[in-house]
Amino acid sequence: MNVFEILSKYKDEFLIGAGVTIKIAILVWIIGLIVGGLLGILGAKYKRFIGIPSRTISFILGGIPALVFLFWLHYPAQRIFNVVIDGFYSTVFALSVINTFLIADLVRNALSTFPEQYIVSAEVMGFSSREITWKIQIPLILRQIIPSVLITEIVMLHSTLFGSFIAVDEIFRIALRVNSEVYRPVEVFSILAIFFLIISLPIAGFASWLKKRYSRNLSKI
Amino acid sequence: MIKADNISVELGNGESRKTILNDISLELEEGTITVLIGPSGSGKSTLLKSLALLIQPSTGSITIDDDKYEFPYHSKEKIRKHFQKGERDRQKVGIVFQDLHLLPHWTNYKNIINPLKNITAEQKKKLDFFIELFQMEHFINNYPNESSRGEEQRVALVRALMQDCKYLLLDEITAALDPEQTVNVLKYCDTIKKTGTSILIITHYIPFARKAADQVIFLDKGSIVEKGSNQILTNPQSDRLRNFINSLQYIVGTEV
Repeated sequence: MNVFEILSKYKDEFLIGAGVTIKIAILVWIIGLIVGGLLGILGAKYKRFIGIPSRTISFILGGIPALVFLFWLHYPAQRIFNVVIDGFYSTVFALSVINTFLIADLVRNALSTFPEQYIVSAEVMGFSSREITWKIQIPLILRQIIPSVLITEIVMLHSTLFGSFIAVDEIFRIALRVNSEVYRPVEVFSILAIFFLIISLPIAGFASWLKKRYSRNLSKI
Repeated sequence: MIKADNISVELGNGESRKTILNDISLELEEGTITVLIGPSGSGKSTLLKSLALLIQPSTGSITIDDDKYEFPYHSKEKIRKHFQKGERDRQKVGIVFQDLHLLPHWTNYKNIINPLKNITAEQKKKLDFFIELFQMEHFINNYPNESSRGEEQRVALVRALMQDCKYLLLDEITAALDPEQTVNVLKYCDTIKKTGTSILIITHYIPFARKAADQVIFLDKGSIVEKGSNQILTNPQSDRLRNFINSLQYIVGTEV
């Protein structure tokens, strides 16, 4: 069987798997960007009460492999609460927590290292606080963090395949199942690789373009 | 008038706390040029920032027209009123920092026009005049990081001049300019002085100070050593100022 024959025969399974993967990724992206963005802003503003605890959690999370974190959340949670939790939700929750703290770190660092002289310069030019935020801080901070945020989101997309280890029928698990039936690992995993490339490459390309376009070297030539 | 009465500035905390300015009193009258000179680290830039209330003195008071601020100031709010547009859409205080502080995500042109919000035909005409006067045509649309230090200095100066400020505080704005541009800038300062603008300029360009300054202040180790008309540059009363001028004049060969 060649790639096209496998695709044709298992089209529905692959589509369902791809759908689940994309659904997990989108939820993880949305939650991580919104909650992480807010946590980063609050962490920069209230360093002692939010910034330091958030940085500590992020530091601890950074030392735990994502898969271990996922297992740790999924199985003990079911035992503690004596409920059956769908692996889909455990995956979304675990990856969202990781994404949230990664984004919070990026936003907090960008805010806390924002050069004070630009704010003073804008104040001297008569800009209001609102104008300083919207015309100076946000554009400069976004230019700085967007490429890193996009790369983080690609990593999150790739991490969705950990869901397969807790029986989530995402695309990696589907690929494993198809391969166990046809035993054509090169073809099956090529399909899987192409799927991830199709989604990741435009995002990586966009990140790279943004970096080139907006994260110009703002320091002196 | 901007008036400083017995201001002292201390910066840092605990054991590293240092006195930067000590008991400074001065006045910047409307339509005058005050030249502030002194060796590096004497507190010139701190004094300029204090007069603009960007740094709050530890003691003393600063008066900008009718607003008097006593220090220590018992509010965490920054004092920025004098940077807002006031009468006839004119800003009270404008500054050109030694480090310039151009915004890196705007072109030089946008750095100049964005603070004006809506540029009028009259302002556009004025900007065209500056672009020609300071020979800025070839870099006006570049980003600051694509411009040389001298080009950035001219952009920062024009940005401040376009604000049409009543008080203009300029920190070593000619340091990276060639002699021709330096003369252009200083001549223009002399011109706007006649419109009532008060200028405080930190410069080591003694010939300019001799020619155009209405008041010269010599600062050393955070204190005013000598203050007076531009005559103090020809006939200094203190050895410290005489030595300082002579060291500057050594290059051009005229000593006092």
